[in-house]
Amino acid sequence: MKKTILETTQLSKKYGDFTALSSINLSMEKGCIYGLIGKNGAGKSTLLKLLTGQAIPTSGEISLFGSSGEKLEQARNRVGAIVEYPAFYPELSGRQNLEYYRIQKGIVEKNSVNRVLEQLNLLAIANKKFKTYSLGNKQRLGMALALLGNPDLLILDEPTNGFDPMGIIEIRQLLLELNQKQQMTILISSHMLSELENIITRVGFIDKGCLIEELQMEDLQEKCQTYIELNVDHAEKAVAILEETLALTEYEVLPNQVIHVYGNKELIPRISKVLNENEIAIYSINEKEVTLEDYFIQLVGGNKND
Amino acid sequence: MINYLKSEGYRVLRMKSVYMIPLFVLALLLFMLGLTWLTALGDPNFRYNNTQFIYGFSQGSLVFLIFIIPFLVNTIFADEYKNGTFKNNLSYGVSRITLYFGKLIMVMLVSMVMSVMILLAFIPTVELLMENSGASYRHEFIRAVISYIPLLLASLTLSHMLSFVTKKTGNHFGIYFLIVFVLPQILFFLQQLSIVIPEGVHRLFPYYIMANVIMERPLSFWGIFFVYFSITSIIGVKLFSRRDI
Repeated sequence: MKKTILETTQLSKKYGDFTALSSINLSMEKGCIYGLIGKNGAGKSTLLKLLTGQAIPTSGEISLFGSSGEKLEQARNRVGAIVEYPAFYPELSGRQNLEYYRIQKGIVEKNSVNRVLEQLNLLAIANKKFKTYSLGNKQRLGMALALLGNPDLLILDEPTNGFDPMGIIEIRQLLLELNQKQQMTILISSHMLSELENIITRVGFIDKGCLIEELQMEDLQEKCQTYIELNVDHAEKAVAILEETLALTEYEVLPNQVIHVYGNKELIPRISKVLNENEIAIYSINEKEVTLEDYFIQLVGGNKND
Repeated sequence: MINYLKSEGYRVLRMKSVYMIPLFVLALLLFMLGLTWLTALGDPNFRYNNTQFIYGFSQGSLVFLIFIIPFLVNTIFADEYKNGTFKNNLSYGVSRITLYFGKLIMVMLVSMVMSVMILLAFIPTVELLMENSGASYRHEFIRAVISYIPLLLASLTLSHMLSFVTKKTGNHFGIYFLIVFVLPQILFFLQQLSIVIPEGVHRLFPYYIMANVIMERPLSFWGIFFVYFSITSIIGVKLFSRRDI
């Protein structure tokens, strides 16, 4: 059984009458990459702020590496994080900012600053003042800080903000490498749902301050399987024929004579042949796939942008 | 705490503004001395180019340090709220109490070092340029400086607390001047209007003591520091511990 790294119990946060987070029960095992998905204002950043000690919970408990209560602060020394935006002293250079935190975290290895600067391709601008950095480079420095001292848990809030497409691929590779080689556990929130789909092992959907569903990626992939969408003149009759002749049992009849048959595109010629033989008119037939985005939209409704 | 203090030391040593404040104060003092010296050169009847006057005048001017304190505290505080840098400290497990007292220790250390450096430049310059009126005036001045240290530290703890509980520099400065400067003035006017003010309440205000060059019972000034330190620490830590960053 894998060790639980992070656990929240009935974690809630209120701002006056507004409930930003309501009774969040979340758990993360060692080595997992947990994707937190939610719309703007859903409560993602509030949750990450509570986990990193930047905000005080109204109620509930957080356990990090088995430590909670007063021992939580000490446990946070094993965490690397960027929440909302990368924050640094503008008058210090990138290197000096990292050196400041290296000393503060008590990291003895002086080369650790150089190593993270190299990892994030920042060596060339390391001696420039932070205030002169572009948005992408600020984000890179934030990532470098999060990785300083090889944390056991990485908490990243929208980490690819300000990155170009190549930068996004680079960060994705880096996260996967850290996870696979160093068994680093990662909690990541992003509005780039397609981005998360490729790297996460577990996903949590958050909406209006509530964690509405948590799934392992394998379970989600099952839910996100491909299907064939059919639009016919008699849906009820069509499914009866398909069931009888092709022994299809996994289907769904939707309004407006639409049928979803779960399976891949190789079924399309057989379906059209059978329905034609039985004089069922086919208006359209396509293979479709439920992506993480589609699933998320189904779950929370509304616009798909974060 | 030690690691936090070390990191703050690293940062403070790389801040230009930390060097600018003592240089500005020193430049002002040396300008005053230079002007006095030059005036005396051109006017043989000029009566102020002696150590008696300069030390006496400087002693009376120590009160102005109270007004420099919030600028110094603000410089060391380094816009932590505006830059969002507190969130890094908290994310990496630095406790809020460590942040509060770590910064307080740092600002106290920096102000002490600055003061010593200014005095080390100021006193020899006075001795060199001004007519010597006797060692007693220098001793009196140094005694006043040492006596007023707890009063300056008391003002510093107030300013420090305000920098943590108010997010905006304007509010920090405004409330500080209100408590340190305006409040004793109001008490003074109320007394002038024969409104009864409890005996000794003025002596809780560093500005009142220093502006009136009160030198009796200097050890009681440490009591004032203790009162300020206790009250501001309780309020500061309590409010900061509840604050979302």
